[in-house]
Amino acid sequence: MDLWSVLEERIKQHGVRVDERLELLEGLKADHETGGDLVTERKKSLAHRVEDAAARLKEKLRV
Amino acid sequence: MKPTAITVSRFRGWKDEHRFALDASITSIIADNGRGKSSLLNAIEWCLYGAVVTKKDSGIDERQDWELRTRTEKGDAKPTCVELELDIAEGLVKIRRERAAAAKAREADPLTVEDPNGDVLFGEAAESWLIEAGIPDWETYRRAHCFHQEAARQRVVSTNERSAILAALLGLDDDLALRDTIESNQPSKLFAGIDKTLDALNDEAHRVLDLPRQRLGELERQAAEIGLESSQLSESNAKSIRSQLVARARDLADRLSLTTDLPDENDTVAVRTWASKWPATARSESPALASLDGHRRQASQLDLHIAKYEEEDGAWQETRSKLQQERQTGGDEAQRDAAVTTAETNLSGATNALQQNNATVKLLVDAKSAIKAASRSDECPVCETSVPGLEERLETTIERLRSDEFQALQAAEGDTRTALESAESARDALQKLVRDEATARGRVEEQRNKLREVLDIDESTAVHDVLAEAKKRREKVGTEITKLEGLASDRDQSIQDHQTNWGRLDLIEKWLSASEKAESSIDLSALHEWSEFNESLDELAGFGADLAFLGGLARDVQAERSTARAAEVNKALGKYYSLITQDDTAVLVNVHTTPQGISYDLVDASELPAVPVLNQAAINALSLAVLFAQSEAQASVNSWELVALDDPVQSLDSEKQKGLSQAIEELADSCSVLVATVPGQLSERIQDYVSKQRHIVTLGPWSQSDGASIESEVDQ
Repeated sequence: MDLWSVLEERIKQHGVRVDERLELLEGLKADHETGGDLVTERKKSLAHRVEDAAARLKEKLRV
Repeated sequence: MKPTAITVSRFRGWKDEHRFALDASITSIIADNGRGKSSLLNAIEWCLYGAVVTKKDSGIDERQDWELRTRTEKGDAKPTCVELELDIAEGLVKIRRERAAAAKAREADPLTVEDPNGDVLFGEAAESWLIEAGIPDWETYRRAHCFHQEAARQRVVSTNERSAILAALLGLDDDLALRDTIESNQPSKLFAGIDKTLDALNDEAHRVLDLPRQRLGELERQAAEIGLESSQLSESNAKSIRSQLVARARDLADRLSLTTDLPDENDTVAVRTWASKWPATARSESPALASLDGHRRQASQLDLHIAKYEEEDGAWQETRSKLQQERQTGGDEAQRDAAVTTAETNLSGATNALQQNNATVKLLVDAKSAIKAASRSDECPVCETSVPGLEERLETTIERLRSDEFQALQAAEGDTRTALESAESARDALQKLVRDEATARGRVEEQRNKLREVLDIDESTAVHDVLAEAKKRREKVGTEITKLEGLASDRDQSIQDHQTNWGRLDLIEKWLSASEKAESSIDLSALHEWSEFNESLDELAGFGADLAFLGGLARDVQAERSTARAAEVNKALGKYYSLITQDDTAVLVNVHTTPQGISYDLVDASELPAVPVLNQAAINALSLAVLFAQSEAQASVNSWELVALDDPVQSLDSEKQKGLSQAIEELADSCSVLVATVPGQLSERIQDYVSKQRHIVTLGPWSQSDGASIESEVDQ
């Protein structure tokens, strides 16, 4: 059994945020196999979203 | 699960159909290079895994230009075919893969599996059967049976490279790469960045919530500094100050004759706008004060000319006084001229008397000389009259005239000369005083004319009138200046009062605004932006937590798998490595786990570093030892029971080839071994020294017409 399958099994066994973690594992696998950066982009996207939301909230507080 | 035979047709070097028995413990394929040894081993791979073992997809560099089908005559419609016969617990299974002669490049090569019951499975069902039966996948098979050839070509220098090649030999290099992928995506840096954002946001929230109160306190301190009590920080006081500001400005504007628009005192915005600009307006735009500088310049000019006039006039009065006094004491100009004339006459008389005395002496001297020449000392040489003692008398007279008389006449002449000089000096002094008085008078006249110019009056005005007029004018200008300076002072005071009151008003208004802000509470939870921020943060936190979880999981799993694989291999690795290398060192794979990652190395039984130099021969020996150890372990659990070795003697010297034959013999106790090798020490030792059942196949020369061929087959 390859490592991906083992990780998949472990995620399922752990039983917490299974869908999200399997999806993330799938993304990492795709990046690993293709040299892509889906996960990195997703990470950046979420970080930007937080930054933007923080900036908007900050602006609101200033007003 | 033991392969017992393979049949090939039109597969790479093999053109016509050939069947090879694999049921012996050791099957040795002996042939020089280019006779089809590797093709036979490749046939097993293709039969089990299909097109993935060819070309670039195989993961083996040298298969880049692989040709699957044997080049045959045009019109040959027979397919490429490989059939593998497997002995499993239930009986014989035939696995067959074909490729049609006219198949296109991307066309799949159909697989069939005939089970012990004679039932035939096709396509996906056949593929599923392979998986369920426990046939290793291509990646596993490739690593086990092909990697020793690839590893033997590598040069290993660094510790990391040693670790990497061991990981690859153990089939754990993907675990390493995956771990790297997961680690490289760990959220620590991301969270550090987000922490900064949260800190900044927290600071802002803190500022928003606390600043108004801090601001209020600060404003109250500032108010105290300018004498404003807390009770004065009120709207009513602000209104009162606004009213005062406008009223005083109106009064000042009237006094300064300023035409300006003043704001409505109830319009707070207009008052704020106007109040900050009013001091500049009041200072620069007053017609009433515009003449102040002109008056000051005029006063300064008058002061200068009056002072100059008075100075010159004083000098003139002094000179004139001296002149009058000189005339009174020493006589006027006519008297002094007469005195000079008299002195000149006296001097002339004294001079004549002196000259006459000198002429007389000369005459007497001549007479005395004549008497002496005539030797008649008592007779006058002129009238020849006899004068007794004439010569003596002449001598006495000459003596007297030359001494006493001459001195008296000379003294008289000196006195008269001194008297003349004194008279001339007195006359010259008076003349100088006259000239000085005239010059001083001229200067006074000049200053008077300048005063006239300044006062703009004509020349008919009397001298004293010009000065008096100037002083009168100066007094008038001075009065005007005093009046204007009073107005300017009042203006400055008014502006100063305005600025003081404006400062107070500004402070009160800021305090009122800050007070209003401080009293209004912010309900963050009601803000849409707050909800959005929390949602995005939750999602990011979940994502980050998942990444961190996966990172931990990957670390744990990699460690477990590494340890398990090493334990599996280490059961027999030392044995096979010692056999192949003919070295007593029983090497073991050591897994070293740290928070930074996992590394692999070779140690001896005492866990001290072993095989310090990993040259090509050592790598080949090690890779074969790992393969044998893994195969032995897998065969023990009834898994795949065939080890295919394609030309395994690469880089191995004679001693190690001997050791390899012993290792193959040892491995044959656990599973079948298929060895393809060139004629040489290994093939000879398998043929002559190994005690296990052997099937020896010698391949003949490859020909264009027939392809690969079997020269001989012997069972021993």
